[in-house]
Amino acid sequence: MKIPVRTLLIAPGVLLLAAGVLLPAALAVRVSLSGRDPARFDAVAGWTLAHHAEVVAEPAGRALVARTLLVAGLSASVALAVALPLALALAAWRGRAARLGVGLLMLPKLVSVLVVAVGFLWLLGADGPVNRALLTLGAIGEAFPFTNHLIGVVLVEAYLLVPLLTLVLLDARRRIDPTLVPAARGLGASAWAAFRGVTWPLLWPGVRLAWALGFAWGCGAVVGPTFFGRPEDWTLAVEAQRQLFDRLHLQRGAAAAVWLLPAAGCVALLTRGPR
Amino acid sequence: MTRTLVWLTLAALALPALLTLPLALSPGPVLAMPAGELSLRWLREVLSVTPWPRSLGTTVWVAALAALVAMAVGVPMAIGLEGRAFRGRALLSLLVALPLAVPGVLLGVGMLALFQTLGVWGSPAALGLALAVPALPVVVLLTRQALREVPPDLALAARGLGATPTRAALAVTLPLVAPTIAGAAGLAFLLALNEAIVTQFLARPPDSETLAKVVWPKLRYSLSPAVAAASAVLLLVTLVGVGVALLGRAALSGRHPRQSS
Repeated sequence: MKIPVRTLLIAPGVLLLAAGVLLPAALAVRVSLSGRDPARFDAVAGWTLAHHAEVVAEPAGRALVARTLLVAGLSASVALAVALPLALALAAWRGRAARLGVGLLMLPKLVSVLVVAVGFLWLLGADGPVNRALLTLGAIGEAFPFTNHLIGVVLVEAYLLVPLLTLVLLDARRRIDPTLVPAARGLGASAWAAFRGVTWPLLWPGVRLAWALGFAWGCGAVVGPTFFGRPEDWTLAVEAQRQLFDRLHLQRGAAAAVWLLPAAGCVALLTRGPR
Repeated sequence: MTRTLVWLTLAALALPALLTLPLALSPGPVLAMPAGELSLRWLREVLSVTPWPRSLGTTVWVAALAALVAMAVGVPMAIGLEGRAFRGRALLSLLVALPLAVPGVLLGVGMLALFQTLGVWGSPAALGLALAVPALPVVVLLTRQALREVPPDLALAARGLGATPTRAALAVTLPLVAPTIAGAAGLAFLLALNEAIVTQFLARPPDSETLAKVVWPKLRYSLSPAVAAASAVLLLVTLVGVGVALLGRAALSGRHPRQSS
């Protein structure tokens, strides 16, 4: 039997994705439904909903879910507030300036999140420039604990989202027919009226998509809550790591991680509907 | 937004990462910006005291393996997905994007369970394979985009002049997409080099202890300039990687017109 060339080209990729994404996701679900053998932290035996019940039925678990959604929602909104004007401005750039601008924009995504965290720990620290500037301006009476507060968590997570959201919005802006705004201006519309009446309605699906993607990625937030949050700022992703590494409870860690799936799945709902 | 404000915003975005360079030169035992005197003490420590040098070597080797696997699998997959439409293409495109959507923690937990079952937890080769997964979508998406930008008339003209489909692909299409493929390879390497979430679950001392695995607990419990120095080394390796990828891309872009003439 002759196997088509296209199948031969695609099959290794499908295999890697099946073994590297689908199978691990299925295994995480299976482990989360498994009983615990105190002798072996990774033993998978029997079936139970107890670990999921801890996430959805107990107050501490529900608080984790609520905090995950809060951190994701705030981070996506702050990132969008920065990314939208940045994308609109960058969309007008051409040539070397545009390439350099996008290069600088992508730098935070090319370096390790740990490198970024080190920089932020100094920037937002008690003796860091942000606190010193706020003290000098008289906005605060004493150093604000950004490195141990929800604000620090959201700032760091939003920072990590800005490049990707800007790229999504940049793409959405560049897809708008460039002749439409000049046509509106030619018919007497002011710059603001042309933006509000022409650009914004066409950009809106992209804005929704960017926020939803930011929200989904924000649901998996680990770096911000781990290094810049108090225990009450920890999210489901941090809980998954903590259960696994600090408590050697793989099943409970898996249950926390599995609950990230419906949280991230909100994207599908948020991006549906009339545009 | 004025041009100046855009540049300032972009500079602010680059700042936290770049700050690790001066922080690494601090002479004191606490994480602080050096005031006057600069010291290579912490960089020397990171390059000579266990476990730092070994973890750096492991990080580079694992990232290189991940990039190699992502390229070996991703480029043919992109070629297979382009061209004539076929049933299931949309579903496969969705599958390719899946690693970008699934939270790293979930992938980490699942892969840990898988690696435990297979008995390969802690193997650097297994870690390299695992890190190829998040790099794969980038390789496939970039290569597909490059293939779409090649005018279809060129390959048809080559076929009309008697070239076989393979010859037309190698002599016409490949040189045109080679710069993007080189960029994709560089990007895959950088993504694997800097991956920190899945790595926390799969890296295991001593064999697969990467820099991210060493830095994570130190960042959480004992913040010292050594962490900034390790981050600075990682940043420098990244910047060198970006430079090499850009030079490779430029060299391939510049070579193409001479080849096709």
